Amino acid sequence: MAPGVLERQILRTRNGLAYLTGASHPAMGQTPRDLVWKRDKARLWRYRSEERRFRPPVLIVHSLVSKSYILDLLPNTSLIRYLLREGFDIFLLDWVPPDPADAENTLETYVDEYIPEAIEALLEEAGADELTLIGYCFGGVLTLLLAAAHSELPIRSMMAMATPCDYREMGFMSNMFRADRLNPEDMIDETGLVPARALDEGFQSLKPTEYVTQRVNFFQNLWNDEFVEGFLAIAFWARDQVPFPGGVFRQTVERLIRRNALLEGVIPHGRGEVRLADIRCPFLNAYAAQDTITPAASSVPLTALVGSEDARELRLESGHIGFVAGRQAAKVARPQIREWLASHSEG
Amino acid sequence: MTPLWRKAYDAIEQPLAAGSEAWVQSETFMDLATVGFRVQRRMLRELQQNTERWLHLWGWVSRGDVVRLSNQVASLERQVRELRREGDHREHPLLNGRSRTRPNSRQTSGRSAG
Repeated sequence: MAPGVLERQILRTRNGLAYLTGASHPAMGQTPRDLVWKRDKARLWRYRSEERRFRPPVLIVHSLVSKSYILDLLPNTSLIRYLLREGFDIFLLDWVPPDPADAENTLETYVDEYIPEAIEALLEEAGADELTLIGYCFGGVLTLLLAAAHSELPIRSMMAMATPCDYREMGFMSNMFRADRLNPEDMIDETGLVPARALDEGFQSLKPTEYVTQRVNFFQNLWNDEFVEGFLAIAFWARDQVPFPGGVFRQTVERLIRRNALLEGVIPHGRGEVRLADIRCPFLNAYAAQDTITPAASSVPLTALVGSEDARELRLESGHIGFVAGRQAAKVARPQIREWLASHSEG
Repeated sequence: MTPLWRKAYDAIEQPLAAGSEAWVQSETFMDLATVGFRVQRRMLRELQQNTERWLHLWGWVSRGDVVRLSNQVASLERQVRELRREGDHREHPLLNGRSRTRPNSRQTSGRSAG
């Protein structure tokens, strides 16, 4: 039963004071896990579980533009915890925020070196001979390039979550680099990285009034402990941006934004090129209808571009974050993701 | 039930949000943002250069000196990584029967496989 007006005011005062004094900072990324492999800034985690019912293991490749705890935000909204409970063997490949030593990393550094090596480590650790691959956001771009470039890797099936494809649909940030308004060098600082602040400002500019509206929503629901915890966790994550390696950024602008190579299905890679049509494994393109970071219109073409005979799409009524961490995710997104994973696993 | 103050806020915010989002996507805004960005960057660079010159005059260390040093360390770290990677490839050319680097990227004209 919802509390009465007086009770709400008391709760609002209590939570407001906790917020102002910084006492209400939620604990995030709490699901127990072990580091099974590490190379430079790449880390492969395996989440602990007593009930691994499905095979093969699942590898989630995280984006380069954010921190991976969004996938394990809070115990009651954690995508990873949900998949563990459902019996999947979950590995996460994430990245320590880059420093100047990573400034010259390119897409090939990740696609031809870190991810294949992490996959070798995963197969050894899990005693498996194949895996299911999930790429989230820009991690989806990495996994697409990986699957297209490395047919020798034993990828049983793969899922791209909130993954951009048509960069004309990526809005303000992408448009600033199309038509030569800005060049990659304009954004790269003297350390060779795109500063985290620049990315944060870019994301904020997509919805100029969002910042105020979020605070209004927060005040309105300040009495609701669950809302406050979720809000603070998501707000903290959204501002907790990481720098972006300059080498990858130059390629992103030249290949993905200006050439729109993913939409063409042929992407320059290394000294040659890779084709999305070479992805033959079962494929799920999961995107969110209200996503403002990776608009649905940008993700939609992917399904038709891969060469898989079993290529499907999953359209979810949520936003970029709500997709993996919100209440909408718990009700709608996760069961459908679970269903697809289970139908492409054994167990 | 939605409180009155919230209804009032939404009545103002919704058209404002729609307008501002459309404005952000407009060519005019993007052109203005580009000019603003370039001017800001140039001013910052000049300020840094002048500050650095002034600090060096007094024999003090500037931010630029620290960044240059940090970049040199980073360059060394990259070389160490490269050497370690070459060593690993020499020691373990094949893992589980699969080649470490066997990308099936197609050739572009006149170049060797990457």
